[in-house]
Amino acid sequence: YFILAAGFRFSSSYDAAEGPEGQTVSENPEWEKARQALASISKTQSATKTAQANRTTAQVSIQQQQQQQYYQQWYQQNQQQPYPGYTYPYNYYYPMAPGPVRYSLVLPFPLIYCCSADYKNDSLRPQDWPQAMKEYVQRCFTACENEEDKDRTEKGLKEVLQKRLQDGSAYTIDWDREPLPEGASHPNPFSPLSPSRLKAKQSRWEAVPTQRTLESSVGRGGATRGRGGGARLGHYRNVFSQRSPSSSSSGSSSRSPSPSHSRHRDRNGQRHRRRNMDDANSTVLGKKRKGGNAGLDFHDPHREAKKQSRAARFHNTKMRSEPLVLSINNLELPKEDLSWDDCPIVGTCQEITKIYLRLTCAPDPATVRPVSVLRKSLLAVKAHWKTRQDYPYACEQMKSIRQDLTVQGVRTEFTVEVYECHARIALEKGDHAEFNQCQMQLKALYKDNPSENIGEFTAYRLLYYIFTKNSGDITTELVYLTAALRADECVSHALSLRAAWALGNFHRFFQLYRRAPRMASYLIDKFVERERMIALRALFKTFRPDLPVEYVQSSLGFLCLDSCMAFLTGLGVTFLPSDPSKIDCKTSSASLAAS
Amino acid sequence: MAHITINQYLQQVYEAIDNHEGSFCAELLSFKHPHVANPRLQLASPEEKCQQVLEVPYDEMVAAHLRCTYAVSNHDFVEAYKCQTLVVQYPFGISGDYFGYIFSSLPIPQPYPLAHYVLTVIVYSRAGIDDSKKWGMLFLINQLFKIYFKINKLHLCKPLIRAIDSSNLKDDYSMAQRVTYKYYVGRKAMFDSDYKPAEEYLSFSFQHCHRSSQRNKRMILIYLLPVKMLLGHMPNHQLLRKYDLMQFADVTKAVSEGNLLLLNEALAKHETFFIRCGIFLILEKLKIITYRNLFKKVYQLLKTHQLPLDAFLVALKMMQVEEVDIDEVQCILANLICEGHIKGYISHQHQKLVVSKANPFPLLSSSS
Repeated sequence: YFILAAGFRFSSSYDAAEGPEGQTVSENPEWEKARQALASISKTQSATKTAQANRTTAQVSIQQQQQQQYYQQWYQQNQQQPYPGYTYPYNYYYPMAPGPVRYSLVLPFPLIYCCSADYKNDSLRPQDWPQAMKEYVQRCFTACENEEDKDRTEKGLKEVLQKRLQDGSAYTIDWDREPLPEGASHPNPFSPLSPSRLKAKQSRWEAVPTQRTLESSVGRGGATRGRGGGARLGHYRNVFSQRSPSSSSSGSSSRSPSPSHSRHRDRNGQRHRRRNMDDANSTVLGKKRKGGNAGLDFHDPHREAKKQSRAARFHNTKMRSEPLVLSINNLELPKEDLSWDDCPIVGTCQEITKIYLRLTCAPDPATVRPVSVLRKSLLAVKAHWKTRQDYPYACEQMKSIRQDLTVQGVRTEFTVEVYECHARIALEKGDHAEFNQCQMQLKALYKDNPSENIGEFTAYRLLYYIFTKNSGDITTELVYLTAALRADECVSHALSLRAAWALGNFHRFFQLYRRAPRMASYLIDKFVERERMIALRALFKTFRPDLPVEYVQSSLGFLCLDSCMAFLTGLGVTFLPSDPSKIDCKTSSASLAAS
Repeated sequence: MAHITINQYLQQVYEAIDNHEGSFCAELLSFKHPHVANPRLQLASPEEKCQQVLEVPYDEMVAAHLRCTYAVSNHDFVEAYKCQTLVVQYPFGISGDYFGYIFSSLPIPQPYPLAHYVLTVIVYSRAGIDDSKKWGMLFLINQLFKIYFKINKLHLCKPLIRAIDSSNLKDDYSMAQRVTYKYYVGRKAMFDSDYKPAEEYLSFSFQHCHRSSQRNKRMILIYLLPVKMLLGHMPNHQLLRKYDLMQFADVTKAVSEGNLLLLNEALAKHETFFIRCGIFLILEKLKIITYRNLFKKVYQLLKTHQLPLDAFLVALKMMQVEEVDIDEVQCILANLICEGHIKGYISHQHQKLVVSKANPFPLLSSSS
């Protein structure tokens, strides 16, 4: 949807033509879609008098029967009298079979480029196309089974037809034998991600690109809009499908009926009812001007002159030739993630252990463990971890427990317990990525499920932000710290550590490190070395001529002399030849700078 | 304005355009103008009417605007914002403040992702086109800054800053826009600990901010003050009183006297205010300045270049710093030397700080 991003008006013209009314018409509905798609290839600036004649007077309500007639009329006319200037075939109402309104997602930076689709070929008007080609297009669309196919076909067709029309082979090849375009086989410049789009459409449930996507999307809480069961499809697609920058997945996900969408569709419908083909031969001017001056109370001596000049304007390029359509609905917002709370599954599996597999389809309840079983599972994992210290196994088991809780929509104290447990195991191992995931989930869970460990994990969160040097989030965290939390042993320790760290007070920092409560030291371990380096540089720069190793050991929180020595020698620190227990600051400073 | 019909309204728009009455036209598209409350103009589908009366592209603009008034009357800000994106896509030779009319009275709705999304769409889709379309850029970018600061994603400001810096129009925008821009860029520099540029930006902002916007000046000052203090310039009481920023009074006094105790008390007392403004962490850094001032006093009292560490320990204890020991003194001194606030070295053996004979405590503005 590269092109669609270029100009909202462009895409809206396409999208807007679909209306919600279902209707059977004599002509194949697919042809309408094809025609519009093709019309977009051959967009030209229409600017002629005759084009003016096509201006429609939109009417508020009109019978569909009439609309059909108009359409037929127009179609007949167009076949026989080609206009010198090409106009969009939109100025008639063509009722479409009910279908979802498609939105094209216009992406935020940096993927938006303003490009002008430059189609200047005058010879590409649909009425000029060879009949065989038109039939080919019709066949293409008839072959489509669903909307995704139509999307793909449309894309493929655009490319193929444009090429053929431009090089003239459209008139020479045998369209009857032309194979239908496949989105995958033609690298389509308009849809650079079409292979992935295809993949995205293959199954209802997509592979989760990362565990994080699943977990974080689930963790975000309940759906804010109620949606029916059928709607879930589209949204699951959104959750699970690869987050390719193309608009397709979001586009298809918007197909579910939902309050806001149906509202948009109604608007489209209303617009369509109005964009009706008027009697093509009536002069448009008289009707329009009627509305224009009504209600003006003052007498403008120049009114006549103005009226004339306004009338004259209709013959210049500035008035719109086709009906104005506001392309508002093309701004589709990033979708909120779906929550499993919409329809939780109740598991029946009784196995205590379970291998972790990413979800590729809706889970079978027989493979999901109910909470009663999961409690046993948790105990088993804990025991296993204690005795065997097998982190990959423990992690996998914990993830599968988390997954089972997620698909069953369980967000209780037990869930909190599970995440806390996994977080602690991750901490012990030093897996800060996994820890962070769990920690984020806990933050959300704590809102509804207070736990006695809130202080502990809040402290860990603060320490994590120090690790990532994220002062913005530290500030935010500080804002929300209640007095009760501040008094908590872990939190107050973390706060003091943060203060010491912020001021470069390494002395206090390492003192606090030695006194870290619970599992905080595992987290601090993650950035201890970084802080030691900074402190060491400061020490070597400011002390002269030498410094006892013992002092460094106590200042930098080393438990024993040996570990300190190992650290120092690893950095190329030099000692006094006369007294090896003293560090030569000047030369060591130079070595540090070099390392 | 509240009673005119749609046709009358459109007629007025048409004539304003025809007669090149830019400001009147802008009013007719502004949310500050009473016409937006007129139910006869709040149409769900005004396209057809607009198209009858107005030329391209005004018909679309006005139609989107009217649709927007409809959306706002229904409190559908999502829709309203979407309409606005259409309205602002059209360039005019008028200054960027024109766009201010459009966006100003629409509150940035709570779905920040929406506003951010919509605005980035506009900003990035407008990039690279001719100059005339860039007039509204600065305004939009300022709006985006506002959002980024609120949602705490300052790194997103960087590409926007780069865009404006490379633009050749940056000095031609209205002063109001430039003041706002520099305010945000200054705050970002503060956040990145670039205090000198931060001071420049925020000072510019403060000086050029219109005399009558007390509120804005106060806001700028909230960020300018900590930066200035870190660079060694303390505000006087007059200034603080004038802008109702007496929270800084004790802080200022404490820092200039080297009074750690008072500083800690002052920071604790107004902690909520400082944290909410996002300046708490910066003000914390003033402790370092305070240590420097305190130790300078010790130096001045002892009148020697070889200062026993004990003296500093005594000073700190006087300030009721908890659990302080000689090791911590050395640590603090080491930091001060590293940052250039003290010229000298520490002799561990003799437990003394040896300072340079010439200018051992350089001016803060030069060492920061």
